[in-house]
Amino acid sequence: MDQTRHQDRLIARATFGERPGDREQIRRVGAEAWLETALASLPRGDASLESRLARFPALAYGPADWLDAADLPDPATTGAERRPEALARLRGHSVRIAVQVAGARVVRAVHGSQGLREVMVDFWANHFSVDARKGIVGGLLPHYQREVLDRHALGRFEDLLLAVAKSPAMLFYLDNWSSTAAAGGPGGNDSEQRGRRPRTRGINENYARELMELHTLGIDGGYTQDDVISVARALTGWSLESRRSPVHRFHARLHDTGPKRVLGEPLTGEGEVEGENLLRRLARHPVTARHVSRKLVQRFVADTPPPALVEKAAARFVETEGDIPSVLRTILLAPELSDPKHRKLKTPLRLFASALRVSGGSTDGSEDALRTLARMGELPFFARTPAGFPETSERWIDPGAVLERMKLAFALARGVVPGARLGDEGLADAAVRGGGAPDGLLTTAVTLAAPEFQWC
Amino acid sequence: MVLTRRRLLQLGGVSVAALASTPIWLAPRRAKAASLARSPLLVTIFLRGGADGLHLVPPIGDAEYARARGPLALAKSLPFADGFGLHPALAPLQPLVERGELAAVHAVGSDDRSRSHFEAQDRMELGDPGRSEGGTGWLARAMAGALGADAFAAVALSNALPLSLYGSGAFAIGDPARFGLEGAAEAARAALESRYAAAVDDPIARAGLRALGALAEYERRVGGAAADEPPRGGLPRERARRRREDPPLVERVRQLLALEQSGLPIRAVALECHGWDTHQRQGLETGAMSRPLQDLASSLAALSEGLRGRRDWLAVVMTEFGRTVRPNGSQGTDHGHGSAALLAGPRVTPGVHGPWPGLAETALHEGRDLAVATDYRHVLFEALATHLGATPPPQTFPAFEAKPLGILG
Repeated sequence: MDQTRHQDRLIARATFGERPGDREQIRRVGAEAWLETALASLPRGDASLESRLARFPALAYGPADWLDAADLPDPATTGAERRPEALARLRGHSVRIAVQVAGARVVRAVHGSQGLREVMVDFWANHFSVDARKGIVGGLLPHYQREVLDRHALGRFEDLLLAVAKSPAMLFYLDNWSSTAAAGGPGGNDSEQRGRRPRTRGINENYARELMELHTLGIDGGYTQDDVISVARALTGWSLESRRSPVHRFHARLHDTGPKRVLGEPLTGEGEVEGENLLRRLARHPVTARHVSRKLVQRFVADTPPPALVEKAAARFVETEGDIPSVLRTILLAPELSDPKHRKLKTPLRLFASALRVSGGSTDGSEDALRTLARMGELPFFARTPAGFPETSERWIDPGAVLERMKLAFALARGVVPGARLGDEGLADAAVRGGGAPDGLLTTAVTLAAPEFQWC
Repeated sequence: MVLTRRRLLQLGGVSVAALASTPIWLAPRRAKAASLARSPLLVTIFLRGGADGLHLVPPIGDAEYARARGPLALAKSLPFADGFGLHPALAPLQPLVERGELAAVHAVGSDDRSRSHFEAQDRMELGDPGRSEGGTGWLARAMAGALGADAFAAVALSNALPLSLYGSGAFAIGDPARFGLEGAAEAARAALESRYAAAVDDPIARAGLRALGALAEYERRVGGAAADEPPRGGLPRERARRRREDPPLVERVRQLLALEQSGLPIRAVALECHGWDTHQRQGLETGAMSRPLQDLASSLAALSEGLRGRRDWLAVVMTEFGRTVRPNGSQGTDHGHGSAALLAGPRVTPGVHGPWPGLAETALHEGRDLAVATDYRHVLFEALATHLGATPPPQTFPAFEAKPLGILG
């Protein structure tokens, strides 16, 4: 195994790009020690970042705080919350919060010294993707970022899965908050219910399906439509406290108490515990281990994951009951990582971040800066589908998309990207390594637009 | 004829100042004065998320309709065809109905049973059930010849290339007004070009060369890219942001018309719109589905209006699957099977086509969804045959024998 190449690949893929001094650092300590340091990082352990994040006060919001800040008319007395203009104001406020959380993600990608943590936050944000455009999802993102992604990015998969399942953002995004036991079926006793009762009763399959298709087993994971229905029934009552307080709450009266079977086995536990047991079972399922490991190998190693490495990572996943750092060690220290034939295309976010990082540049994560990423199709938390942004290169390459990459290169070189500035380090070096081109601005632009800089 | 800014000036008597501030993609009507010889135009519109065909084209004449749909049965609908109406939010389509420019194929879909958006969309757009990754798209295969001759023969107006155009070198144009390389002089382009030319077996380099090669033609016909707007203070409104990065379908149609009017030889275009995954409060006359329905109807109306007088255009609207017949617990619908396809243009045979499986309990797919009675490939094949004026290339839909449905005259 080529140690130098391995170390360079680690920096390139397990962070959002090389910064001045990174190579010297990893040469000194070696790949293993470098990785251990990266895996031991803490969610808010990056002091240099904190001042840059101060411009995003919404990061500290709880799921309900922002509703107070939205200064909405009180729906209890006026019913005005449903009025179109009030709803539009609510949604506008929600999206503005999302823009702050997305801005912070971009700042962290560019300026974070805990590169692997930022990359894993990005990975899980894609694996458990929510779209800030939908309803109040944007306003629930600060909680999702802090309490779900940051807290569990380098923890255990099972804890992460449960945190996602109980997060207001996912409960709202995939509609589980409104999934209830069928009227007249077992459970669903709403005699204690206060306030308005739902106009219709019954399950909503949206979350249950994506839970198995995307979050755990994978599309070929062997589940059936009957399993989707059983999972949805098991998770009935996993909802929100109220319209004014969108925090997770299990409503026993909306829960389907009938017996259920998933993947051929009866579910255990009652009430909320039934759903928790089911989520743990899905999290520990060997098919989930393979699905998640495959996605990790695809992110870090190759668009077409080497099967042997996927098996190795999946075995480690099962052995450690989904300990994410253990699985990452298996993948990131594997010889496959440094195989020159395994190239990974930089997605637009990584391209943007790596150009700023390699040159010692900066971004403020302002909405103007985000617009560049939105145009290139990768604004964090604004993926159109629950599958998140695409991972493989073929989904990012067409002549129009490559033209956007050229435009970014020229705009960065000319210093006209709002909210982002290249630094003056590193690029000359990168240019030499990439083959070189004549004179200043042009050299920089061509270096950033060159094929070599698009891959990592 | 090439339509340059100068030419525009001569044609429309537009002031220089107006030209400076009004790029031609915002002023299609002025460009209209130039009666350019144009190619036949095929517009494909993908409704992402699984559009409810029973709401698009409600089968009001089916005796089971009200019972089967329960609270989602539409009490009112627009007159369309024998036994079928149109959703009230599709009102902008009424002129097309009156002109006989609208047809539907009902109970249409693929044999995908996963009820997964991603599987079902991929399968439909690739049009080749044998492939999932690394495939090429049906539209790309059908337009391969034209794309070889002209880079803009088939384009997508979207931020990312849809799978239907994969493997063809076709462009996704995210924003026609920004399409170009502002700030990059000839020397810079030449430097890039040689850099890409030197890269061996690199898909980025191939796409980059194609982009640089086509850029000159685009600039010649449409004009150069507008400079980036200067940064603005504060947080711009959501609507303003959406208008630029994520416009509604109707805006995409306006962009298409402007590009087409400019003389860019577009023969096929892939458009898409979102918002059809109505798990929640799908609604009747109003509700979650009305907004995308209105957008779709306005778009087809704008297309018909913009291409008025021409007989050589056709729009095909499709979706990955339909939705459950019964509402779910959230006054919405979950993923189903059969849906409806719409066709618009002067050459359609008006009305609703395809066998109707009905909504009786026993007729439903897996006891819950509208069945698929017509494979979507029959619809696309017929659309292509009409558009191309010839049998589509055999590789368009591998291992599939299309039969004519008589949707097009």
